[in-house]
Amino acid sequence: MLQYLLRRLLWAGVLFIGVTLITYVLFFQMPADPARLAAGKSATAEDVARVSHQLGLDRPVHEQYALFLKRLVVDHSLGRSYANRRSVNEMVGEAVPVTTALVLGGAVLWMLIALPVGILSALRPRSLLDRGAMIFILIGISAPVVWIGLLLQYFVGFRWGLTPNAGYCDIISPPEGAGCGGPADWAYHMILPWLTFAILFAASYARMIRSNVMDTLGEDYVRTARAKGAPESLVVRRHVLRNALLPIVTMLGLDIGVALGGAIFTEAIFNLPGLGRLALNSVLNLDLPTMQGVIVFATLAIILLNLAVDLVYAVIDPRIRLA
Amino acid sequence: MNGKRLLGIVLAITGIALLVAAASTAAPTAKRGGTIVLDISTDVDYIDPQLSYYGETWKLEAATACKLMNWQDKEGAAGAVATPEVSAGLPVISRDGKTYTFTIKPGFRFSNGQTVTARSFVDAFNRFANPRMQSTGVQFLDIVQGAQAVIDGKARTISGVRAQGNKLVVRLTKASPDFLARLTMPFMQAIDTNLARQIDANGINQYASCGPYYFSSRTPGRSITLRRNPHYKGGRAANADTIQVNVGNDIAVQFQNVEKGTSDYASSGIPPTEWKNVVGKYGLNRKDGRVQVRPLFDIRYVAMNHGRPLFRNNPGLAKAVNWAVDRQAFSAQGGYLYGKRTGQILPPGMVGYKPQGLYPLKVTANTIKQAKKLADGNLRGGKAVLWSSNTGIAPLQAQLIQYNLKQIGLDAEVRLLPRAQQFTNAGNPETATFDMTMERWGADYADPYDFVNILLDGAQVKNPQHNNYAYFNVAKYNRQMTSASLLTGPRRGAAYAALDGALMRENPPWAPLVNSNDRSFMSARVGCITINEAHGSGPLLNVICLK
Amino acid sequence: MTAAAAPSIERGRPEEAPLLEVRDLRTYFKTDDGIVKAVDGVSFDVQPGRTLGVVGESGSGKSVTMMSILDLNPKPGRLALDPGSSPGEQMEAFLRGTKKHTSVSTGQARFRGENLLEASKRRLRALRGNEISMIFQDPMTSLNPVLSVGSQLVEAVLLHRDVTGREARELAIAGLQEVGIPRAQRRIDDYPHQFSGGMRQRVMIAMALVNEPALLIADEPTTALDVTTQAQILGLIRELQEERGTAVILITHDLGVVAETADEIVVMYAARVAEHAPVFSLFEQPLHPYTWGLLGSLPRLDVELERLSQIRGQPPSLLRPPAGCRFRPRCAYAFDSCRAVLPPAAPASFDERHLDACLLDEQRKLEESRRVVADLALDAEAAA
Repeated sequence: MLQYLLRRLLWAGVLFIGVTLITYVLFFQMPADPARLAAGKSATAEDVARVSHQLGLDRPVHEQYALFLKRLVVDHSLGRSYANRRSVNEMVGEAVPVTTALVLGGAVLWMLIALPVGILSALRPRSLLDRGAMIFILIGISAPVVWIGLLLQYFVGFRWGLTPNAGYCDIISPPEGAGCGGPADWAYHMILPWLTFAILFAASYARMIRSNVMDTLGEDYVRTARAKGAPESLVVRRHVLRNALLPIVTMLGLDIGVALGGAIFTEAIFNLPGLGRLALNSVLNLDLPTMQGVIVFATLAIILLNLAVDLVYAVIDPRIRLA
Repeated sequence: MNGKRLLGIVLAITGIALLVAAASTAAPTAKRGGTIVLDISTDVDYIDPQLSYYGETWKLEAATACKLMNWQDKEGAAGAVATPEVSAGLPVISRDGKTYTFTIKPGFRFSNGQTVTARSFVDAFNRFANPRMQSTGVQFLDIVQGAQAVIDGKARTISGVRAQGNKLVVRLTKASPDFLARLTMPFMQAIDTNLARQIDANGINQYASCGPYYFSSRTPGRSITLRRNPHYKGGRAANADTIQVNVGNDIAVQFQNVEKGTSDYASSGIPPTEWKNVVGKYGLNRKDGRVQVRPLFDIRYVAMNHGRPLFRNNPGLAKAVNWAVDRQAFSAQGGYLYGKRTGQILPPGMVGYKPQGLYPLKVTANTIKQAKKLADGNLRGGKAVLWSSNTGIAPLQAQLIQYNLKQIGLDAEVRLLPRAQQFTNAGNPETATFDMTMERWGADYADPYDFVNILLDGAQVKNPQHNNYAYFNVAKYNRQMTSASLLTGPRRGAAYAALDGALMRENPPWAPLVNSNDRSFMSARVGCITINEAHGSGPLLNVICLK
Repeated sequence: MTAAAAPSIERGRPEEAPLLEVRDLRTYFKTDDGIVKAVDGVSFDVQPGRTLGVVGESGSGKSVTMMSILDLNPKPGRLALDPGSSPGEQMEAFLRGTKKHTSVSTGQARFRGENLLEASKRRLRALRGNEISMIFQDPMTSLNPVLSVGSQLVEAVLLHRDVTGREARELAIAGLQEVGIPRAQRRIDDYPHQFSGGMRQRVMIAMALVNEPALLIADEPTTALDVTTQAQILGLIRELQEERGTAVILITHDLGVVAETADEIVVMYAARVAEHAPVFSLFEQPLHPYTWGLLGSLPRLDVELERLSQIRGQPPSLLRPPAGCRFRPRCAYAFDSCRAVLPPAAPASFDERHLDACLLDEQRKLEESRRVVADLALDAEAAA
């Protein structure tokens, strides 16, 4: 177990260095000079040179990368944004709760949709419910998130006025002049983002759950359970779902990990100040430190959730032994 | 808005005679109180007075700042004249034109109660020039004596700016007729003693100011709040109690919010296709109406880089591009009332504007044939790099131009860049690796100098930061531009008109496309709408009120 | 051991009423390609305490027959039968019906006189695992991998007996001990993957017998196991059967397996019964050409591989079975009538308990039968 953890952590470190290094290398392939951006619009050549030196941009890429790592490890600092000189730690720190709220709320919602839809349609294939579910799945999977988001925003938020059409409210201690705040406002503003974010996943999870359950229904041990005289509800609960939902746990963990890196579309549409929007803006502004900050966080989220998934899996699946 | 606002020599052009020192107030019927909400799609750079340099911020600072000279809260010509605000009347200018002595009008106070004194302006100048502030606007101090020493870190305070009791004395390095106009920039607003002490390149997000409003809070990326300055007695309107700026909603949401009434002004505009609908629904330019459109002295154009092989001494191709571009389709991308199509440099209404009629404003089979004929033999390999901004409708417009160029056999590769990156790189000869770039110029003041000389004078093309994106540098025209700028009266107009025609006929530096409008869409609940483009686009925020 | 070894003569004629009577059982499935007649008119009896061997190639309908009896065919379920209508009408209703019902079973499967095909789901559940138990071919997949074997055994007990959890666990441990699982007390909490294949099949047997059923249906219980384990498992089944007087239906494709175990044998071919006889009679005087083929292809340790005769061709599609006798396309003895007539299983003139479904003249059948048996004996001698 300990050995397993150590090996996993070692891999995580390798992955982390790989991802951040690639970001660095790619960034410097871009036909843009961050120093010029950071120096401001009317900077002279000397200004640019000075800023370039301040930011260490005049050094070779590998030295800059080493500097980045050193700052990260020693000072736990991601540096300052080229665009507005704010601390990246601070910006990421502000964005993380927003994205986390979006992703976790969305995950709860999508599982609330996907579980009943997937299970019931698997138990009643070709029924009206199954067909309805298949249509939902088809739409959910093929419709772009942006489109769904904009439709919801336009109709639910604007035309029918049932929910706010965009914006974020802090759940606790809203900043002065925020206009809204508190758990009720927060949830009210998150309804559409959660829905938008959840639909694609709900559809693909419903499909996955449906096919897993159907496959499991055909398993020999399910026949064994029936041959024992177990009622169908027990067969489904005890023998089908336990097995069919095991892989879903893995998927869920991985998807949440990836989504924590920023739900770019949903955040952009609904103007949620989360990591996705931060990433988007940092790319548009060629703001390497911020970009790198988001990537560092996203990588950590993915690595940690992967690890968590493995550990959880070892608990729920007796066949898995961490070695 | 173009990020930069080179404020120019208003006084030199409009003449002292036009200066009416009547500090007027807004309509007396205005209802006071309430909260005005507006949406901006991208956060401002800073709200710190010595750092902010975005049109959006300046629009807000028009409500928060008090300045020696300012634009009046009026529409039209009356609003386009720099007028004394904190300065008690016009300054006394020394005979050599280098020393300006301002008398501070009493009664101006900061939102924290401090009194505005001559010292408040001295502090602003010094904080602005302080190298630790790393302000990008310091170029505007080049004419102030002793400013460069501070910028370079060789002095702590600017020797040429001094307070003497209620007098402020500014010494310039040379006589500069545009100095008073420069003072209208928010950089030079009065600052209180607290802010004067806070030297921080990251900018201060809360400070006391001396205009009708002050910034009571800012959450970067989220919101900005302005509240009425309780100590303000300067005479400008301050109708709403609070002005709430929500950051980050894109234009579709801004439109929805204003329609729903959860926001009062779509500051970043609305989806292009909606303009026609809202004009149909609410009318256009009615008094306090919801849709207001004002022409801007502005031009959108494709600059053709004459410093690179493709367009160097290649007027045939430059003309072909002018025949090929589909101005109608380009304008249509921007929606209803986007602007007026144009095939020349100067915008309508500008001194020297004369319809030139050189290029088609509408594409037909014949115009394409003509374009192909002109391009024939001048394509020089037929490859080009076209730069464009990466936001809004700009990528679509770039695609359209790309298609138009394809029709004459020019294969353009579109490169999308962040807007700031685009014009910064385009204006630097070292990084200007484009053949064509989609540009926009908004006039800082109404004079052809700000268009022709600022944008096309070849003397500047070697500077690391210039606006001649066409890298147009032809001795003959350089001379003509300089001599035109020295003329006054009708001869000035005639000279610029001739220059406009000659440039576009003989050797077009650009393919001009559209003179755009400032379109504002407001909620049903607001009135007291006054638009003064000198302060920035849209309704003046200190004047706007709840009905 | 030889295939033709004479079974013990004591396993004689039944005297009691049959435990299970299957009459003209038909099970059809609806598929995207059409109707699959997986069981098409099968009849047999099982006597209490006796063993019926059901032999046939895969796809011959032996498993589906058993599944149909217990309604264990794949979901979604079969059409509920209307007891008032005839089997023909029932079949008709199924063929006309919606896609909701993918299978139908008509005919009769009387367990202690009660037709299971018409029994309610509830009644069937009460019988399954209690009066009638099943074990399956692949012990590797027939146990739920995420539940400990103990909990699966306890589940089987609790489903049918009103006992406490502790008692159920004791019963489960006893069951495991009975099937020869060493250290059952400790192993009960292990998971299936911690057992070998043979051990898992023992667990399955323990689970099937824990409620002391009257009938055990063993569907190819040894196919997935290696030869030594096969023998152990078969021995175990026989042993427990003798101890408890359980009737067994042993499904297999291996005549060698049933030769030693069964009292009676049903040979199935293409969804129908080809031959049905007491074990001694079947090996002494096999009457159906398919049975001859099976005997010829009986794998024996004592004969060189190349001497094995194979039945040529492939089993027919049950979607579009051949006209007439289903074995005709592969039958060396086929003649004109075989194309026209689907022969029913009819008793032989000399023994009413020996049924076969072949149109050949009985005399001819007996001659060929003698030749086949003699060949087998010769082979055995040659090997000796």
